[in-house]
Amino acid sequence: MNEELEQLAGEYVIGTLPGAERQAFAARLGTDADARDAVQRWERRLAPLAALVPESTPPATLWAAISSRVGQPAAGGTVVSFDQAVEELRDRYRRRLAFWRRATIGSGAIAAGLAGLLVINLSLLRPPPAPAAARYVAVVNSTGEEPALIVEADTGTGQIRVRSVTAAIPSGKSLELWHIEGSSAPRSMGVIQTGDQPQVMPMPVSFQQGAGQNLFAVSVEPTGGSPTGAPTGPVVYKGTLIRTE
Amino acid sequence: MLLEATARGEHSAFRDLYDATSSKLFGVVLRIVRDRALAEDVLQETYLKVWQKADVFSPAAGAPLTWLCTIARNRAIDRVRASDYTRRTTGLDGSNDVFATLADPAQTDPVMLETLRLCLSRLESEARECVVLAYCSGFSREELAERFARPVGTIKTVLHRSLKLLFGCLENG
Repeated sequence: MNEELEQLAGEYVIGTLPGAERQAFAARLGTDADARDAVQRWERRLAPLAALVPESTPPATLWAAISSRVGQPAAGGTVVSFDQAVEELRDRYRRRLAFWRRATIGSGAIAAGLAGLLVINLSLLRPPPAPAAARYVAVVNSTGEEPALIVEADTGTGQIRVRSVTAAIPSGKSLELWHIEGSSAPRSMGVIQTGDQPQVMPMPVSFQQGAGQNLFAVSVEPTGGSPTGAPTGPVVYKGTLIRTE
Repeated sequence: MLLEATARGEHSAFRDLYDATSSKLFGVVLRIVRDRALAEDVLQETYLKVWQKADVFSPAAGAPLTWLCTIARNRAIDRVRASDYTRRTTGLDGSNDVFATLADPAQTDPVMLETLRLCLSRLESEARECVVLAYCSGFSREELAERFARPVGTIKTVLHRSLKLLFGCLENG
């Protein structure tokens, strides 16, 4: 063992080498395999400390910046059907869980590792659209959690289809879906059913006349839905519509 | 698996990797640079490097997360050791809570964590704090000297002795 090298590598890894020494040692790593090995050993030994530093969610805009610099538009996605999209989202959720299980980290971090807003842009293949028809998809979730619902709106058929992915209905309550257009008051779309079958809801007339800033939100309501026609409970999920065709 | 798919240029895998790890890495970076805008900058550089270098990741070298954290920490420390960086000294106190978490048996699971905990606990408390504050919070020798009211030379000695003890303990148990 080369003690001097171990010391240098250790200080490099914990970060206390002053600027110039740090740069010099970093340059040495490019040519010195022993130094690289020593650094890698320290990194492995001390890694559990980094794993215990509290998490902090970066702003949602950061992914767009990164994505645009690796040659893909931020909302880039594959062309899939609605059903495939649901499967893909479930799959994505499972893979992320698997990643964290392999990452040998505490269970608290597993939950936190699921943080992050999913935004997908889907093109829906079936059936061929009527002229001038537009389709929209919203992935409805709560910030930092996996998607709860997928909402598909098709102005061609005048239908809105809602598929529950992971939405959890609190016992003794109902979840109600609201459509919010621009600054107007939320309009109830109906009470959400869970299950594998997509739920079909009629599309508001205002929506068909042209979707501007459209938002879907889900609130917790008394069983059967809001008694007042406006949301009365907390909003647990929300998502904006993305035009796909 | 996500890293391997990222190495093949699969954008969706890269996205999944980001979703799974960005909060962890942002936490690590933010704790070191102590400035959100700078931390965002560092995180962006980190993932760009991951995208470019995912093919050189070797599973034999350790867990993917260790590799990602290493890139993020290196970028963050490079920034705070650069000559033009003036660190905000506010909020630089009381950071040994990480070791408190480390010492909490409820949080331990992997063998490596247990070993590191054991070895750190064999250091004197000030020496242990120096190592943890340097590694987790990016403290320089000068900042440690200020915190513990010691000459910089003493801190250097403390760090060297601590690393030597840690090395012996971690290698030989």
